Amino acid sequence: MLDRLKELGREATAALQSAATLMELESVRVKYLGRKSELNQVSRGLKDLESDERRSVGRAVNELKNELGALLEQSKERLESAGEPSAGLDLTLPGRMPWVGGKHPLTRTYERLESIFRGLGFEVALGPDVEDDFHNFDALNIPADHPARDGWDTIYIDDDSLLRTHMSPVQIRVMESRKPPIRIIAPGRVYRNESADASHGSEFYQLEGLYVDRDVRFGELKGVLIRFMRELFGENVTLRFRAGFFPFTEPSTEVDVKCLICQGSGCSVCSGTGWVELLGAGMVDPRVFEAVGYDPGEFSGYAFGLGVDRICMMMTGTDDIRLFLENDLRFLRQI
Amino acid sequence: MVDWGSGSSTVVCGAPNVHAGMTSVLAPPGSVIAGGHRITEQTIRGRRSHGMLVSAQELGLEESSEGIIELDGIEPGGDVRSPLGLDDEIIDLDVQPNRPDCLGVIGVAREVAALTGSELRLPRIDLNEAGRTAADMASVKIEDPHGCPRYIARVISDVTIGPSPAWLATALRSVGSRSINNIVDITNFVMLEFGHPIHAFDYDRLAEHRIVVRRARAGEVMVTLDDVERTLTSEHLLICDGKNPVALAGVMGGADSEVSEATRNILLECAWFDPVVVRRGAWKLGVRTEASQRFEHGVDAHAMEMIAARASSLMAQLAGGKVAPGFVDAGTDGGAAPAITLDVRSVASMLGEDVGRDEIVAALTSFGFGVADGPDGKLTVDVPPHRADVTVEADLIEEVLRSRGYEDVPPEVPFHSIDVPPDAGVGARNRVLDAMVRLGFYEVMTTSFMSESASGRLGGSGVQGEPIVLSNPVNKEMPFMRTAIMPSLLDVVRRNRNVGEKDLRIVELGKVFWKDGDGLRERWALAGALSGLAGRHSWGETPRSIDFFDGKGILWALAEALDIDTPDTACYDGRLLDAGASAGFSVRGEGLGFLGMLSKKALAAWELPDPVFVFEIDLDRLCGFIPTAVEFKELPRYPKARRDVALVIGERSAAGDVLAAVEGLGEPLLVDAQVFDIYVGKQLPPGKKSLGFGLTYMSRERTLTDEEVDEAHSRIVSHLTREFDAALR
Repeated sequence: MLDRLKELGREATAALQSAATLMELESVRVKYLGRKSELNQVSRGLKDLESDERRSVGRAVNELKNELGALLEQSKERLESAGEPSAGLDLTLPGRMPWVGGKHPLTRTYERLESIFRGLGFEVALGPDVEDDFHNFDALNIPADHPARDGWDTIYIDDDSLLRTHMSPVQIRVMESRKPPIRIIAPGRVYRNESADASHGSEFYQLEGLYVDRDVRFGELKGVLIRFMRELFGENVTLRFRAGFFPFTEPSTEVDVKCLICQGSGCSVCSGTGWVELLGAGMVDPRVFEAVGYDPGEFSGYAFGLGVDRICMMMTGTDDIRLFLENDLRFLRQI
Repeated sequence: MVDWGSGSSTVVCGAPNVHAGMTSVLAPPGSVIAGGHRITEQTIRGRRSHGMLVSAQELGLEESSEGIIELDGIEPGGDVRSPLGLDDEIIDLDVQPNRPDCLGVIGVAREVAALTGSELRLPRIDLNEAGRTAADMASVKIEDPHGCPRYIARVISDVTIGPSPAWLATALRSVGSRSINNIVDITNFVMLEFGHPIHAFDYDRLAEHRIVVRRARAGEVMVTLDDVERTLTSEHLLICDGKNPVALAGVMGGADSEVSEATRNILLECAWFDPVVVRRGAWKLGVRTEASQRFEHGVDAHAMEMIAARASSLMAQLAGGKVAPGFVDAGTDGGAAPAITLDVRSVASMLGEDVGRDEIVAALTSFGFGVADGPDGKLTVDVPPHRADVTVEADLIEEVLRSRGYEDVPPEVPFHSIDVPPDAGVGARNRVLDAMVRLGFYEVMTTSFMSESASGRLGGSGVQGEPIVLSNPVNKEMPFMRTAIMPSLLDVVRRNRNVGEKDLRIVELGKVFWKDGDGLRERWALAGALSGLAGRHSWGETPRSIDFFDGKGILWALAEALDIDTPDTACYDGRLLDAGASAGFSVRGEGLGFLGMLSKKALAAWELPDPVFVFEIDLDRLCGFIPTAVEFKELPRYPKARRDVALVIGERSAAGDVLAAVEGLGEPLLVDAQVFDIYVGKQLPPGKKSLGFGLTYMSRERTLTDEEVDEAHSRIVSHLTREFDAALR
C-alpha cells in the first residue's frame, strides 16, 4: 500500500508540474486530490485496516495530501502569473520606437551653466543682438579709435549700429535701468568678423556675469569663479588666475583651468601648455560705472565672461567649433 | 661619407663648395629646414642619401647662399647652434593693448626689474658731439600740434652706409625682421629697445633741410618707400621737407628721402604722434606697420631725447657718423601727468583687509611710481611717464595686486540676498523648447546671416520689413541679417539629406531681424521643418510619408503642452509654400505664423527631392499666450456620454466650419467635439462627402439620462443639417 502511495505521489507531482493551463491543472487536481481520487479512496478505506497499518498508511496519506496541496498552489500561482501564453510572439524583434528629439549641445551646456549660476544667486538678463556703439564699446571704456577696439573684429550695420561682439552691452543696459545690488548673467549669441576655423566662428555663444554692490572684493570674484568651476568640472579642477587686460575691468584677470584632457602634461587641446584659457574677469572699471551713472565711490563690482562653445568643446571633446552651427543630425544625436 | 660623431652615413651633396675634410651642417632625415621642407632619405643619382648638408639659406640665415655652410673649430657631432649664433633664447610675449611701454625690450626689462627686485641697466650712450649744431643745420616746424605734439631731430654726418655687424643683423633676424643696412637697422633696433619708432631721412634730400609737420591736402599724392603711390585725405598727417611730403607720419617713410647707399648725412626723427591720427591714417590706407601699431598705442614723449641720443650714438659707433651737437626740439612733452590720490582703505576693501600701507607703497615704488603722503591719510601717487595707462585709483589697485600676486588673494563666497525680478522670457521659451523636444524634434542652431538669394526667394513670407544690411559681412554672400529662420533651416535639411538623414524633425528658437523705417528690430521666432516618414520605420508596418496634418498636429500638441487655446486655421499664401497645403494660424484673433508644404519651386531652389513641411511662428507672441498660472478645477464626478453623427454634405464644405457651428450653438452639456471619419466614395451621391463627428456630453452636477443626452444631441444634429444642407448617413 505504501509503495502504491509513493508511486501515486510521483505521478501526481509530475502531472501538477507539467500542467500548462489552469484548466489542465484543475483536471489534475480532480484526478489526484478530488473526491473520487485514488488517494481519497485510500483515505476512506483506512478504517478497514489493521491498527498498525492504519497508523503508517494514515500518516503517509496525510503527508502526501499536504505535499500535493502545496504543489497545487505553486502551480496555480505559476500559471496565473504567466497568464495564457500569446501565440508565437518573437520577443526578440525590436520595439516600436517613437521619435526622440533632443536639445542642441550648446543649449544643454548653457542650461548647465545657468543652473550653477542661479544656485549662486545670479538671474538671467538678455539684450538685443543688434547693438549700438555706446553699449557695445563707449560705455565699456573702449573709445572710438582706440587700439583696444582691435580686439573685437566688429560687424557693422552703419556708423552707430553693429552686431554685439560680446555680452557686456547687456551689463550696461541692466545697470542703466536699475540700481545696485545687481547680480546677473547674460547669455547669448555674439558676432565677430572672423573667418571660421576649427576653433573660431563668426557667430558663437558667450555668457557674462556681473555683480555690483557696496564693497565687493576681488576675493569674492575668485570665490564665485572657483565655486563655478568646481561645480562644472568637479572638485579636483585646478585654476590659475593671471593678470590680464580688459578695458572694462580693473584689475583684470584671465583664468586658466588645468587641461582636463591631459591633466596638465600638454596635449593638442591645450596647445601643449597644460592650461586652457576659459574665463576673463575683473573688477568693474570705475569709468564703466560713470558711463551708467553709478557713483564709483559708492559701488564696486566684478564681471566675468566665458565662451559657452569652448566649455562644451572641453566637456565633450568636440574638436571643431563649426560642428555646432552645421547641425548634422549624426552630431546632434551623438553629443 | 659624412661623419656625425656617433656614426657616419652617405649623403649626396651637389654644392659647389663641398670638399673632403670640410666641416658642415647636416640635416638628418626627419628634420625640417627653412620653408617647412622636411628632409627624407632618398636616392639621388643612384646613391642613397641619408639627409642633407645645408646652406645658410636653407637654415633661414641668409636670403640666398652659394654653397653649404663651412665651419671651423667644431668636432663632428657638435652642436651648431652656438657657432651659427643661434643659441639665443627667444621669449614670445603677448602684450596687452594698455601696456605699450612693453612693446620694447627696455619696458619689459623695467617690469622684470620691478618684480624681481633687480636693477634696470639702460644702454650706454656715447655721443662725442662735434661740428655744427643740429639747430644750425636743420629746422622743424609743427603746423598741426594736435597730430604731432613734439618732434625731435638730430643730425648725423659723414655716415658710411654698409651692412650691419653680425650681432645687429642676428638680433633683428631673431625677432623676424630683415637686416637692410646699418642705418635702417639701427632705427629698427632702437625701436625694439624703446618701443618708440624713429625714422632716418637722407639729410641731403630734404629740401631746405627743413621738416614741416602738417595735414595732407585732400587728394595729395605721395610715394611711400614700398613704392606705392598713395592718395591722401586731410586725415593724414605728413612729414614734409621745404617743398614736398617725405613721410606719412608714424606710418611709413617716403621713397624720395629714403636712406640709400649714396646717403652721407642723416636727419634722425624721433616724434610723438597722436595715436588716433596715426590709427585713422593707417586704417584709411589699409596699412599697418610696426611703427603705426606702436604709435597707435601711445609712446612716451618724455623719453624722446634719450631715444634720439641712443640712435645717434649707434650711428656714430656702427656707421662712422659724426653727431651734431644738440637737437632741434619742437613742441612739448605734454608735462607731467596729474598725480592720483589713493585711499589705502579702497585697496584693502577690494583686495582684502590685510593689505597694509607699507605693502602698497613698496609695490608702487617698485613699479616706478612716486608715492608721497597726501591729505586725510591718503597717498599721492605720481605716475611715471611711460605708464600713461594708469589714470585712476583702480589702476593703482591693479598694480598692487600684480605685485602681490593674483594667487595670493583668498577666495571668498559671501552671501548677499538680492530680489530677483522675473526672468526675461527665458522660462517661457524653455517651455516651448521642452515641448518641441518631447514631440520628437531635434533643436538646431543656424546662422543669423542670410544670403541675397534666400532673401529674394523669401519675398513676402515671414518677413515683416526690409532686411538689415551688414556693411562688412563676414561672408559677402551673406550680407543680411535673417528676416526668417526658414531658409537656414532648409539648408540644414539639405545638408542632412546629403549625408543620408532623410527623416527629419528639426526646430530652432532664434532671433529674426528687420528694418522698420529707420529702426532696427528683432524678435524671437520658432521655426521647424519636417520631412521623410511620419513615424519611425518599423517592422510589419507600411511607413507613411509625413503630411500637412502631421505638422498641424504638432502645432496643436504644442498648444496643448503650453496650455494655450487650440489655434484657428486660415488660408495662407506664402511665397515658398504650396498654397493648397499651407495655412496660417492664430490664437484669439492674433496671427501666430504659418505651416505649409514647400512649393515645387522652393524644393528645387534648395535642391530637395522630397516634400518638406515648414512652420515659422512669432515666438514672442506665442509665449505671451502661455498662462502664467494654472487654476485647479474639480475633476468631473459624473460619466460622459458620447453620440456620433455622420453628415453627408458638399464636398467643399470645411470640417472646421461644422465644428465652429457646433461650438457656436453653445450647447451647455457638450464638452467635446471631434472629427472621427471622412468618407468619399461610391456609396455617396457625387459631389458629396461624409463627415463623422463624435460629440461628448457631460454635466458637472449629475449623471445625465439617455433622454437628456439624446435631446441635446438632436438639437445639434438638426441645426447642422439645416445649416449645411446635410443629410444623415
